Amino acid sequence: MTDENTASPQRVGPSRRTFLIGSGVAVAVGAGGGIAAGALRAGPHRSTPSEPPPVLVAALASELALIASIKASTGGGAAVQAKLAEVARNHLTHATVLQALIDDTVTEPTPSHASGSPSQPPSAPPLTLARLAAAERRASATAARRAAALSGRDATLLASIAACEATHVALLS
Amino acid sequence: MTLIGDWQAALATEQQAGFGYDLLGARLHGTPELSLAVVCSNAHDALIGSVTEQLATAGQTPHPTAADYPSLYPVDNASAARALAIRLETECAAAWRYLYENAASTTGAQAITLRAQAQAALTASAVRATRWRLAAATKPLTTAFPGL
Repeated sequence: MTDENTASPQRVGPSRRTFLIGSGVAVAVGAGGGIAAGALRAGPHRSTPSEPPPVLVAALASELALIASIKASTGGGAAVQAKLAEVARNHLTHATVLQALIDDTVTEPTPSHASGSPSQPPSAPPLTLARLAAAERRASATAARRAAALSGRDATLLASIAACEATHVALLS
Repeated sequence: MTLIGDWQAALATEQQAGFGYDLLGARLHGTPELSLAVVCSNAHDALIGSVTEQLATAGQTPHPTAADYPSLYPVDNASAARALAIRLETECAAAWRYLYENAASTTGAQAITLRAQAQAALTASAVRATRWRLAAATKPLTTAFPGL
């Protein structure tokens, strides 16, 4: 067994992750995020590199881009909009948990990190349902590849995100 | 538990799903979901077969299929059948996620292979669970972190 975290000295005092969870982020992101955050809380403290892990940053950017695409896609009936809202909620939960992971790796949070909430989604053009489904399919494959590049709980989190995004394809197709 | 133990546990959960689909399929005759049940059942059977073979190739004795799974009863009607299908897929997703996490914390060729299999199986079960939630009109239709 290997764990990159175990070789590092433990922090003194609570980690930012613990703080975020303690301050209600887990509640704010819903039950799924709460479960994920709970799993994270059980993990060892991380070291405190000055730069966040690029894979997690890229994963967060992907989530924000998907949220932006969904927010821009306003057509369809009530049933379609309900599905899009559910998909967007999942992405927001992913983004919030990823942001908490990233915040926990940086010594000093940047202003956009300070609240524990993910950055605002960028603007994006509206997409048809078929294109949104295709974007989710690509996102699922990318998340699985990113998971394979990581280890431990971070890898598992992205593996689960990959599975979730595959369910979005089923929902939107 | 070792990786092999987690792999065997995933197989055991798949075996339960295979049994469960036989059980619930009988309650779906005449409904649109019978074909979904057949597709899901076939997928689990195929995975059981490949994992069993892989474990044997690795010099392991594959987990035996139980004669019965009392915890899956009762399945009295189509509604109960849909609910059981969601449960079976959710439990499979959890078993494969557990294997994934432990493989992702381990080095070596076997761990890499198992991660790939676990990712595929976790994703497949999550998608099937969503299809069953759609069929059952259960809300929410998805979960943000399948297997967790």
